[in-house]
Amino acid sequence: MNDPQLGPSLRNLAARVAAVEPPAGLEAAVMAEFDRAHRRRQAARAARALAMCGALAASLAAGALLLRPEPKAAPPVESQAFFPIPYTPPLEPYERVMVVQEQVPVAELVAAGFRVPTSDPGGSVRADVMVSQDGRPRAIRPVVFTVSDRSSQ
Amino acid sequence: MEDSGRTPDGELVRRFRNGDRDAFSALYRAHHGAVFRFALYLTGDREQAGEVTQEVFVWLVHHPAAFDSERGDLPAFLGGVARQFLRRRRREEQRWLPLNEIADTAPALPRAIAEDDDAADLWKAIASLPERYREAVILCDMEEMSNEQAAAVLGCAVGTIWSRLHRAHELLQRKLHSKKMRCPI
Repeated sequence: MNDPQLGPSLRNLAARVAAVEPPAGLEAAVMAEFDRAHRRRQAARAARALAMCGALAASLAAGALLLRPEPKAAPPVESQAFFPIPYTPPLEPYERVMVVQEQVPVAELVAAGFRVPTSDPGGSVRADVMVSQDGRPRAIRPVVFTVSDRSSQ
Repeated sequence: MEDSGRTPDGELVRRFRNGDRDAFSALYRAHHGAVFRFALYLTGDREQAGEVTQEVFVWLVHHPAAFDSERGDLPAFLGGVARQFLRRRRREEQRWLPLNEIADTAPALPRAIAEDDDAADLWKAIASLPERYREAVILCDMEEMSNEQAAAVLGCAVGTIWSRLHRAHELLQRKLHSKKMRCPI
């Protein structure tokens, strides 16, 4: 400051301005904003950590899926053959058939020529019955070999 | 402008960035006065200066990484932020003021200054300076910043500060002298 008069005047003014207090509550408002921002930042950080954990878990799951041994193929279902019912005409290759499952009386099986190892000829056997287009049974395939007696039906 | 016994700004800023509330509080207490006075000189209004001070520190809360100690010190940085808020505020005020009211928006006189005639005259003389000179006087003469610090606040060369100060002092002397000539008693 070159001016000998201006210098002291400026210092006097500066001292008076320094005496002017900021409005009350300014610091509280600023610190409240700091607290809000800090809480938001913490929440965002937690969300990011959660997202990273999720991504990690997903990656691990995907890795486990990719690296797991190939599942063994299910063993083929053993197809059990139908037994042709004796004294019925053989099925032609073009003939359409229908398979129905029903309780077949043991007596009928015996009458048709099957040997059924049971002491109760009055019981029945669950079996698949192949029915031809004309509605007549042509073959039979026992499903359950246990013989159920009449009283249980 | 730092107290010798105070934790350095760099350390406080580092702690504040890590969420240290006490560090931010210490920064606020160390620097809010200078920001408030700078805003008070430019607005002439205590309430507006308080609002600008709040805006500056709230902005700092949301931009903790904005201050780069390699590029200058914190008071100069905060002064620059305050200047931006003041300019924005002035633009918005003028946008909504009717033309005939713009001339009446001269800063009001705070009571502590109005009590002293010399101080009041000087305040008015400073307020009537073009903004670029007024800023140089406020930062260098009133806030006792170095020319380098003022240059950092105003975003100009150090030589520019020097020439603005020189011109501002000439204008102030002329204004105060003509005032005394008009009112000799």
